[in-house]
Amino acid sequence: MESLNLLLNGFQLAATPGNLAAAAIGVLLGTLAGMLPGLGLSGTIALLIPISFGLDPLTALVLFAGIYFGAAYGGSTTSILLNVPGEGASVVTCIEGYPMARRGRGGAALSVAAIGSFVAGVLGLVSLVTLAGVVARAALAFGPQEYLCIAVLALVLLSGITGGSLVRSALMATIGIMIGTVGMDPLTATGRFTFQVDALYDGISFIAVIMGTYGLAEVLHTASGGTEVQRPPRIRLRDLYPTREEAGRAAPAILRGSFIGLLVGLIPGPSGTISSFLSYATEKRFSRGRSEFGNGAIEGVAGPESANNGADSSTLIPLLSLGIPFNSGAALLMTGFLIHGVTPGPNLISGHPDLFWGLVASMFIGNLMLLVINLPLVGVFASVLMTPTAYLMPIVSVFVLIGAYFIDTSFVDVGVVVLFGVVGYLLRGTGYHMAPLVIGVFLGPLIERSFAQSMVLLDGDLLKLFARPLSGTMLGLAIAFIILRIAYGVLVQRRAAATSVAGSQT
Amino acid sequence: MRDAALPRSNWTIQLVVAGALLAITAGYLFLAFGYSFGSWSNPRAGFLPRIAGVLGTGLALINLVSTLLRRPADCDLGEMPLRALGVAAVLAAYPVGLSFGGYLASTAIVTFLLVKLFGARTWLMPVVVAAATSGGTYLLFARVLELRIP
Repeated sequence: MESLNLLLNGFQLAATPGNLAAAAIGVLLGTLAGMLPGLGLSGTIALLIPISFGLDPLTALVLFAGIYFGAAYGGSTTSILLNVPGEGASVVTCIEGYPMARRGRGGAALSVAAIGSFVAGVLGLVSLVTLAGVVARAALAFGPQEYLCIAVLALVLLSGITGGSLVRSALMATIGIMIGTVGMDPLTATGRFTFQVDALYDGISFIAVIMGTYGLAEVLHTASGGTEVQRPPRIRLRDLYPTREEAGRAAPAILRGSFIGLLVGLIPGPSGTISSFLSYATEKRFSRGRSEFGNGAIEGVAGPESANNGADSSTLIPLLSLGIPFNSGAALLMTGFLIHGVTPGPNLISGHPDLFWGLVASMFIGNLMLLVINLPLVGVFASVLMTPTAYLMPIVSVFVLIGAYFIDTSFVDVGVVVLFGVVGYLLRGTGYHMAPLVIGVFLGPLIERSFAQSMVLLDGDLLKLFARPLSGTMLGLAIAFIILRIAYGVLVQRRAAATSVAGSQT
Repeated sequence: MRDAALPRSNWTIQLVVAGALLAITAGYLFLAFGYSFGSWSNPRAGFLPRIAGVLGTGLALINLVSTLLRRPADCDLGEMPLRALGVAAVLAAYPVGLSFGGYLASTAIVTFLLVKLFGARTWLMPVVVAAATSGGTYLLFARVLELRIP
């Protein structure tokens, strides 16, 4: 009941004309940028961070909430209309969405995706309202040992399930931690790895790293000819209505997908991608139209899109209550918060209830606006996809660099963005994932501080971390996960070797 | 053994990147030894850097060996990686231009160069886009958001 009153108060704060305008602008810009092929949720937020400079904290947070949900929806549009997934989470949407578009049901696929995203988003926010306060209250009792073990578990899980090589993901996470150690040591105030550059004493800006690895790296990838833009089909308003049969088949898929997304969003890692794949597998097995899968089954759009958005919403629970982002999208959202002096974590809810509840209310509003504004305008949005990249990408680049300058009105940050843009382009192009690196940069200082404090408290005995129930459980889970992941890798290799031997014998 | 189906240039790029990562982590570890570790019960400035350095160097070494011995993931640097690096070079020069040429002029020049690098064939449209980007972002940041532009 208390949460409900606080939420109503949040609605009063969020529903000012200025904040409503910010939510609408955020949703529109988020959708537009999210539709740019290849940019994805993280790239979109990185790109749009600069437009929040100069706004008051709540308005900026409202804007970011709109961008966050708008970008998630924008990605599905390119998947359905062009068969171009903006990011991993949209890959599944292509499988059924694009065949639907090819047989003239693209509008129905888009509207089902939007409705599914809305339902999952609202359910996710209800979970946030219900659980964030409870988790945050529990987190107030956490000591450095708990924070250390949560951060380590998050990094281990993220590295293990990001996809590709475990060694490469773990290497990226470790390099992220290394980058996080540049600057003043939190214990002794010793400058480290600064090479006598004054600007580096404050450390390498996490925001600049993110703008480089996600925003600029994508621009460079496009410059190299990595992303082709096609002409999308025309979508009229009347095309958006699903038939009665389509609606009847999509509704249970939306509910199943939402539930899967809500659960997976609470696990560190690329929850959007994992939940959408899980949802697709579920629908393919259990839905009424499973015989149509591969040829444009509406359940294959409704379920994964709901799961993806549900995961994006529920991942806000650990972000806002613990201050720990579980994936790169959440890390970017957190970046937006930090720029405006708002630090997510247990103290946000108790110390700044107006900001927290105003933000939650604005997320409800943002989700509603997404449905009301974006759906009728989808045809207009699709025309953006026809903008030549030769003009679009230079504007995006300039926007990112100017935004980097405004982080700390420093040219060093601009240089960091360019450097990490090139690094991100090269590493992504050669099979390394950026999410573990980015989360490593963010969690590095937290790990260093809590590790050092824990060692002082535990008199240097690492085994005592297992003596506390929560830290022991987290650490045990992390170790168990590493062992299982290695065992799985060995098993896959042996199977591949056995198959190869059998193949050569026949 | 290296997979024969993998183009040599891709494998070379994979090796160069893996080697560079090893060099970076090893260099970091070398520098980390310049800071005091303290002890496990009394950590100092070099505590985490040394642990991360050892872990990172070990992982980078395994990665390099694995790239040498096993089939690595294929490269996706696009068909024109040099164009991407050209774009990066123009962007790297942008802060220098801002220091000497001011916001409006350097933003317009950089945007124009980028538009041409991205493959625009005409001259008029790139000039218009460059001028509009420079003026538009100036209006947004300096006038609407009242931020101090470089």
